[in-house]
Amino acid sequence: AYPSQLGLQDASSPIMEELMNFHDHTLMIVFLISSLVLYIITLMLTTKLTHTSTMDAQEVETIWTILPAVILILIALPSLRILYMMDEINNPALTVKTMGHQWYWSYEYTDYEDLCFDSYMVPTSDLKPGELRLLEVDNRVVLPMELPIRMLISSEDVLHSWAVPSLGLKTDAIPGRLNQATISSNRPGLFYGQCSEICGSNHSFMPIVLEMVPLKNFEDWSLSMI
Amino acid sequence: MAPGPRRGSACEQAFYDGISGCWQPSGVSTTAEDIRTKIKDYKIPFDSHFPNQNETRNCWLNYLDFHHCEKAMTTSEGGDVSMCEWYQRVYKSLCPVSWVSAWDDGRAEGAFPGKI
Repeated sequence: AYPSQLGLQDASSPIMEELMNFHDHTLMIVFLISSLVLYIITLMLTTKLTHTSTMDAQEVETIWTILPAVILILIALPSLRILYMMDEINNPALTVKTMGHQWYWSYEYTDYEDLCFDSYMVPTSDLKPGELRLLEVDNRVVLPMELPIRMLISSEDVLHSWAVPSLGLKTDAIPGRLNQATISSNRPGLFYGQCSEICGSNHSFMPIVLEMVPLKNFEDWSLSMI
Repeated sequence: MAPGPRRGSACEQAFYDGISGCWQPSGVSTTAEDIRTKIKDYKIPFDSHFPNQNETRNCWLNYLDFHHCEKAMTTSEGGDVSMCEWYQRVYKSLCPVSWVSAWDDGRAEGAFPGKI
């Protein structure tokens, strides 16, 4: 990400790549329709020609009924394709749980040993040079890259939402419910996200940072954390 | 005995792909290799009973199943509690720690909502 960015962050997972392509496709349709409508409005406003005896307009009415239906189908088909792709069955290599609290996330890696920790935002006054304001946390979620990981998301108090835009993830954290998301990162790196459901005064101050590393580094990290 | 999948070995890629059957038993293994074999053994596969996003019931039923199984094995003669290990593994991986401790406390106090 860079300052004054307008578009989506670079995709780091296959689903996000698909979503970006779909977004470009749909946005292009939106721009075409908007510019056509604006053009027609300017034509209407800048002509001296009049026609006061219009009774019907069957041909143009047919076109502007059928054409939007076709456009909607052209949007719906890729959309459904991606929707089903997100639900594909995969065998996750690892299961990690995250619980939303007011106002921090806690993470649990309980596949083998019990590794649990909290992840609080680093206050602005404690940031080191180069760190991102309102996005850095004290304990990052370290995960192995290029492996499908099952993420189970819930909450201990109110509604929260666990989101990491560059991986195309956003899943609500609902108390009493366990929601599943699949993380699969193409490459190593730091991926930031923020709580995406209003949860009180510090809703804007409970970010998420994923640190995707090779499996060996993940193993060493989890040994050091237990 | 040969150690587990070595760096660059044919089994390493198979392990990363989650393909079982390429694992070689390890003798003197390092803790990192212990974890690698454990990852292979401990990953909870897709359960077709719960194909959707809501995994609450998956966690709950495995917790119940483990305790039913444990109770059945301990009360019957010749019962082997290690048969129940699968359910325990699944609920430990899936269920949030706070839920498990609340349920354990509930069972101890007799205030557990499920029937065991």
